[in-house]
Amino acid sequence: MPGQKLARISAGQFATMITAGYLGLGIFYFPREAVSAAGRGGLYAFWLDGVIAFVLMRLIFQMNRVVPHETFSGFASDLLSKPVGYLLGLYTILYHLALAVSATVLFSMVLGNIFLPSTPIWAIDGALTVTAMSIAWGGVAGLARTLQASYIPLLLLTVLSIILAAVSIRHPILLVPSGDIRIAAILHGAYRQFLIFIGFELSVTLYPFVRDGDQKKAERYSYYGLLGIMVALTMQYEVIMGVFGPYMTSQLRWPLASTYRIISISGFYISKLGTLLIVLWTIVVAAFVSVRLWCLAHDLSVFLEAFVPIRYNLGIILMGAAAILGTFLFPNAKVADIWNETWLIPFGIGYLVGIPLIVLTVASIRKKKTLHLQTLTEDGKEL
Amino acid sequence: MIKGLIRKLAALFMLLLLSVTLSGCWDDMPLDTRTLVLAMGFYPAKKPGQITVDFSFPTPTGLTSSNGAGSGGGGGKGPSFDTLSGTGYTLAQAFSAAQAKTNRDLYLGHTILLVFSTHLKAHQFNLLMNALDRIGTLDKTPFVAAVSAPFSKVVGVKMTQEEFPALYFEELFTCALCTQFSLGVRLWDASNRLATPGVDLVLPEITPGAKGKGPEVDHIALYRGYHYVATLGHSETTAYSMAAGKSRKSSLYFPHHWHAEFNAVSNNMHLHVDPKGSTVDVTVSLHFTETLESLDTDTESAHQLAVLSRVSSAAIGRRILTFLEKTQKDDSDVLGVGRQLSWIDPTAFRKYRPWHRVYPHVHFIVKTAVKINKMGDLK
Repeated sequence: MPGQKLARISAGQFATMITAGYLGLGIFYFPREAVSAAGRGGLYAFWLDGVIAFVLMRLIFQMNRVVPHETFSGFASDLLSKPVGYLLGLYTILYHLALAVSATVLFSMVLGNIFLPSTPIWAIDGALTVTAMSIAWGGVAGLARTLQASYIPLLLLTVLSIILAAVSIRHPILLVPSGDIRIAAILHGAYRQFLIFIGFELSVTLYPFVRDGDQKKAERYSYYGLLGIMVALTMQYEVIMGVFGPYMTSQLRWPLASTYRIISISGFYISKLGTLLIVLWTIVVAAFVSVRLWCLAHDLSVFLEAFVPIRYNLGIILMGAAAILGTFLFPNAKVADIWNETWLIPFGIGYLVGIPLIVLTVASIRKKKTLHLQTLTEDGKEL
Repeated sequence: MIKGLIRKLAALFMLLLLSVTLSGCWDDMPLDTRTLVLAMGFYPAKKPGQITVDFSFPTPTGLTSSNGAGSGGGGGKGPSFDTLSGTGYTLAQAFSAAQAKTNRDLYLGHTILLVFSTHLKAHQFNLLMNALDRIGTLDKTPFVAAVSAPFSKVVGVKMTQEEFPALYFEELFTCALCTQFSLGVRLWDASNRLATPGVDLVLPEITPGAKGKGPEVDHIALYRGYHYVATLGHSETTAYSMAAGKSRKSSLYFPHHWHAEFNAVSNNMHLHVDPKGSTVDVTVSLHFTETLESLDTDTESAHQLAVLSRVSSAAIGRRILTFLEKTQKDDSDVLGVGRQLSWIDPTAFRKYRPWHRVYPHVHFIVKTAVKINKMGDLK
């Protein structure tokens, strides 16, 4: 474990992992949830989500700064007492795992529905999870490099494709933000669409792995990442609305996939470029799951440290197996959708709001203990 | 040493596992065992409630000959395409019935044309559209057309210009400058119109040509929801293309005004919707560009151009207003007046429900402006 912790990531890699961490889950639904609740006001619901994500990111980063060289699972027991620490450690593990399962289920349904109708869903789930495990196998630095090499070019290609899809816009009037502002509907839409941002909780585990002195920069880059995603998804929202309109958008199973599938470039060597892009999005979902599996391996080893020490790679195997088993609970995407809305979103928002507030409050009360934790080295020795 | 061996074996196991699971081998099928369906036709079957689905696909002879003589199949005998049919209460049943007649997999991933009989009942059309939306392998980009004639007379016809009829129609609908009007409607566009309140579906209708000639596309079929309402002739189709801002190469002739003839009539349209009490005022603003082709005075004067611009504008306006009144009688909102209202004023639109009771009483105002390219103009 100490060997693993010494592998550090740069500020840019941290921001990439955080960004990859929250896109994988809601991307294929986007913007259906916001539009079906708020109609053309769905854009306001999405922007509201962006503001909430920004505020919660600030809050989490503030919490990370309490003990900057230790993960939340690592310092929770010392700062908040052992029972509370174990409880919150378990909460963190379940949250990471639920997100990994949910992302795998949703993506395998998209692939199964569109491309591989004869392939059993469990095979797609298994292949995706094993790929994610193999990416996570090399540790956080290797994982970060793999993500940077594949994920950033893919995002650029996605933005280019959005521009290509823009030629299919039939109703430019829909590009103008709506004057129909219904607060309750927008709040409802923002709640349902928050699924897209729910995954940045992994910063509580990744933060201490940022190179010394780069933490501030890493935070700043993460905000830039959020801004970039807001701009890209706003463009995507506009294109989807301009092409399909609000009624059709709320009826599409996978609006993003549907938008890419109408891109057809005659004469280009791959005429169905959008279809190719959906397959490439496997990288994003595999990244989402692999980052989570790595965090799970870390949190599990910290959680079990007092009972039985386990290696990271064993943790990845155990958590990967748990994720595959978890996918069996969902017979179809609709069940996953209901489950996400009923449990995962409130569970996630509760975590993102509740954990920083508890830690910051206790840290302000137990100043001496906090100072003591801050002066410990990574090996647990006092400076 | 044993540790290293275990690690190597684990890596090998992972490699084998991933190569099997990631290749999607369950769905893998060699191309020569597949029948690539290019066009599908949907018709009511003889037995009430059932539908017949026709699948048109290239034969091996057709595929090799379309690759050119160099491929070695240019001299192949036999038809270049064939058709299979299946009947059932649902698309899945009809598909299975057709599949039972061939030893190859009927593959829908390359379908480029879907034709719907105007004799289909509304609930059958609805059922089919829902089923088509849910077929994962079928892209949402095939063109959709209406037909009243049998499949064998409109799509299963040997064409002189293309090896496969479906390809002919695809090229016709994608080439904006090859036709008088841009009538091509893709599957996602048709689904969109059917899903959106305040707008109705308009499909190009493929009609059998005169003896010895290929099928023609110069009619449109109007729908109200999933109900087929009427087929409009060439003149009304031109009026529709102008009203919708889709006119590309239409022509106009004014025998009482120096026998003036215009071609390349193209236009764009702007719709303005204004709710007024129990009714709605709709202004259709049309901006035309047309080229003066011939005049019996040989050269045009400023006065003639002014008169022709006024006459042309008035004639087009009357023609379009008559067309829109016809759609009101048929209760088919082809321009999407209700949809426009729902976008600019959703609260007002909610008051006008159901829209189909309001549309026949909508008050249309057609404003036209014509720009004439003179005979001597170089374009």
